[in-house]
Amino acid sequence: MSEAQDGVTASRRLEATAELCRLFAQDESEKANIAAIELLRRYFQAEGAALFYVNAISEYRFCLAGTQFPISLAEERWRACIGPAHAGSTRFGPWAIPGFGETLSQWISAAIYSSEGRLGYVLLGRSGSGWTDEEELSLSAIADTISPIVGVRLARAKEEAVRREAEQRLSENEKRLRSFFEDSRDMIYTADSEDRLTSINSAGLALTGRLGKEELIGLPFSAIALNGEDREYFLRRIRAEGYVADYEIVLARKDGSTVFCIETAHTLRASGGAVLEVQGIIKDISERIKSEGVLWRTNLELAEANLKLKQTQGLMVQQEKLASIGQLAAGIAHEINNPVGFLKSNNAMLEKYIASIRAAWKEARAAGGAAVEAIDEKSGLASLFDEAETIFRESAEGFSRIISIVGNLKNFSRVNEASDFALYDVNRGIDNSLLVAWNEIKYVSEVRKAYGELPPIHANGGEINQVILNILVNAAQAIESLKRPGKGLIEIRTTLKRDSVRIAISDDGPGIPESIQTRVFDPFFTTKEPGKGTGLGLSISYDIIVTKHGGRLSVESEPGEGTTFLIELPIAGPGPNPSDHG
Amino acid sequence: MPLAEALLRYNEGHPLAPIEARRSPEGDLVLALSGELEMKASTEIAPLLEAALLVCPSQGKIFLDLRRVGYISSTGVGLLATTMVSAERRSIELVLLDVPSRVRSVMEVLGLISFFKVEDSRV
Repeated sequence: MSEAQDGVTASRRLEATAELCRLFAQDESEKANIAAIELLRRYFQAEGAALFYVNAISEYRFCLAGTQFPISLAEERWRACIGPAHAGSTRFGPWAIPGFGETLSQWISAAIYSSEGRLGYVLLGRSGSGWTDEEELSLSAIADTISPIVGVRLARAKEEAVRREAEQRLSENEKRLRSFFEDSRDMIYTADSEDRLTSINSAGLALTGRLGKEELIGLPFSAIALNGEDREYFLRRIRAEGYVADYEIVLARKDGSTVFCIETAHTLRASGGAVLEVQGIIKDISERIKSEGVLWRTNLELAEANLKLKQTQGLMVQQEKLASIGQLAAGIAHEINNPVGFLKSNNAMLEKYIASIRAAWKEARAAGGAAVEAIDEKSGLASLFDEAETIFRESAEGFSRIISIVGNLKNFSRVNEASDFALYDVNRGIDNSLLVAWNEIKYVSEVRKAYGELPPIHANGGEINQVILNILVNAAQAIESLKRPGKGLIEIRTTLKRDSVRIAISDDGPGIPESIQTRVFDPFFTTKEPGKGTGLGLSISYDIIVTKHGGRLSVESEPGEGTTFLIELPIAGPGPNPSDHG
Repeated sequence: MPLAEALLRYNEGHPLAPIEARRSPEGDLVLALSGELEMKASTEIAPLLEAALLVCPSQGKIFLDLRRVGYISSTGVGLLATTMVSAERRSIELVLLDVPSRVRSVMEVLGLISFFKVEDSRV
C-alpha cells in the first residue's frame, strides 16, 4: 500500500472514529450502539456486523447491523454467540452468529472494552475475499480508541441506573410509608413541640369523628382528649422518657361521644435534646373496655344485690320474730281484757255492796244499844270496813293498771299491724316501751326520765318502740352484768332539735370496749351469752332508724363509765325514698 | 399481709406517689391515693386495699381519698370496682372522697360512677 493510500486510510479511520465518538457522546442510550455497528459495517464494507456488550443494568445484549433494536440474551447464550472471539481469536471463519444471520467465510473481531471481567466485542464478517491485515489492525485501533469512551459511557449509565434504582426504591418506600400511614386502621399522628397536630391519618379522622384533616391540623392534642390533664401527664412522661407505651386516653369525638384508646408514642429530638415532634399510634380499645365495664358492672350489681339480700334476710328473721311476739301479745291482751273487765266491774259492785253493808251496820249500831256495840267492839268491824275500803281502792288501782298495760301491749304490738308511717308521740312511745321492758329493768336499775316538749313526728311507731325497747333491754342487761350491790341508773332524755327529735338513752353499765364499738351495729354481732341475744337487735335498729326513717343511730361509750345510744329522727319523716338512703 | 406492712412496702416502691393512711373525725380509715392509677400502680395497690378491707370491721367504713390522683386508666377504675365488690361482700361501706373531675369522667364513661358512694370533704 502506498503512502498516499495509507494517508487516505488513516484519514478515513480517523473520520470513522470521530463519528463513533460523536455518536456515543450525543446519544447516551443503547441506540448509539446500533448506529455504531452500522457505521462500522459501512466503514469496513462488511456483510455482517454485530456489537456484543453488557449494559448498565448487567443485561447481556447485542446489536446486529441493519436491525433496529438491541437483543437481550441469557449470559450463557451470549457467550456462546461470540464463541471464537471470546476464545481470543481475532480472525476466524467460516462462521455464523449462532441463531442470528448467515454463515460468512471470513470474520474479524476486536474487544471494545473490559469492565468487571466482562468484555464487549465487535464482530465483522465477509464472504468471498477475506480481511487484510490493515483492516484487522484498523478495527483493533478503532476499538482501542473508543474503548475508554465506551467505558465512561458504561460507568455513567451504571451510575444513572443506580440513581434511578435508588429513586425508585425511595419512591416505593415513600409509597409504602404513605400507605402504612393512610391505610392503617389505627390513628397515626404527629404533633409539634407545642403538641399541636401536624399530621393525622384517615383512621384518626374516623376515630375523632372529623371529616377533614383541616379540622384537626394545628389544634392542640388536648382539644381531642376528654381530659386535657391526661394529655399533660402524657407529655410530662414522654418528654422525660422519650417514649410512652400503652397509655390509655379517652378521646372526645366531635359529636360529644367518647372513645377509649391506647397510645404508644415516641419523640423526635434535636441534637440538643429538645423535642421536635411527637409521633404516636392510637388504637381504639372501646370494645375491650366495654366488655370489661360490663363485667365490672355485673360484679358490682351482684355484690349490691347480695348485700341487700343479706340485710333483708336479717330483717325478715327479726320481723318474723316481732310478728310472733306481737301476735302473742295481742292475743294475750285480748284474752286478759275480758276477765279483767268483769273482775273490775265485780270489784266495783262488791265495793258498793260493802259500803251499803257498812251504812246499814252503822244504823244498826246506833239503834241496837249495848249488845250491838259489844259485837262491834269485839269483831273490830270498823277497822275491817276501813281495810276493805283500802283493799277496794288498791284493787281498783290494780285493775286500772292491768287495763293500761293490756292497752299498751295492744298498742305496742301494732308494730306488725301496719308499716305505715303516722304521727307518733316519742315520749309516749318511750313510756310504752318502758312498760314492756319494765320486768327486765325494775330489779336492776332506776329509770330517770327527762322528757323535752316534742311535737309528734312522722314515723312508724311500732318500729321506733321496738328500737327503744331493744336499747332499754340492752341497757338493763349491761347494768345487770356488773352484779353490783345496788341498782344502776338508766337515764332517758328527749330533746327537740331544729327539725328533728333526739333520744338519748344512757346506762351506767360496763360500757363497750373501744375495739368493738364500731361492730355493735353489725348483724349477728353479740357479746351476750349464747341464747341471750341474736346479735340482730342493733343491726335491725340501725336499719329502722337510718334506712327506713332517714335518721341517725350512734353509740358513745366510755369503758367503765357506761354507754349512751343516740337516736335522732327527722320530724317530717324520711325523705321521698327512705329505703335508698344510706 | 397486714395493712401497715402493705402500706410500707408500697410507699417504698412509690416515693413520689405514696399512699397516706389517716383517720376521719369519726375514726374511719381514710386512704389517700396519689399519682397515677395506671396498670402497674393499680396492680400494686390492690393487695393494700385488700389488707385495708381485712382490718375494717363489718358495717365499718373506708374512705378512698382520690384528690391527688392525677390520672386513672381503665385498670385503675377496675381496681376501684373490684375493691367495691370486696367491700360489699364484707358489708363495709366504701366511700370515694374528693373525686377529681378527670377521674369522675372516666368512671362516668365506663358507666360505673353510680355504684360508688362519692363524698366531697369540702361540702
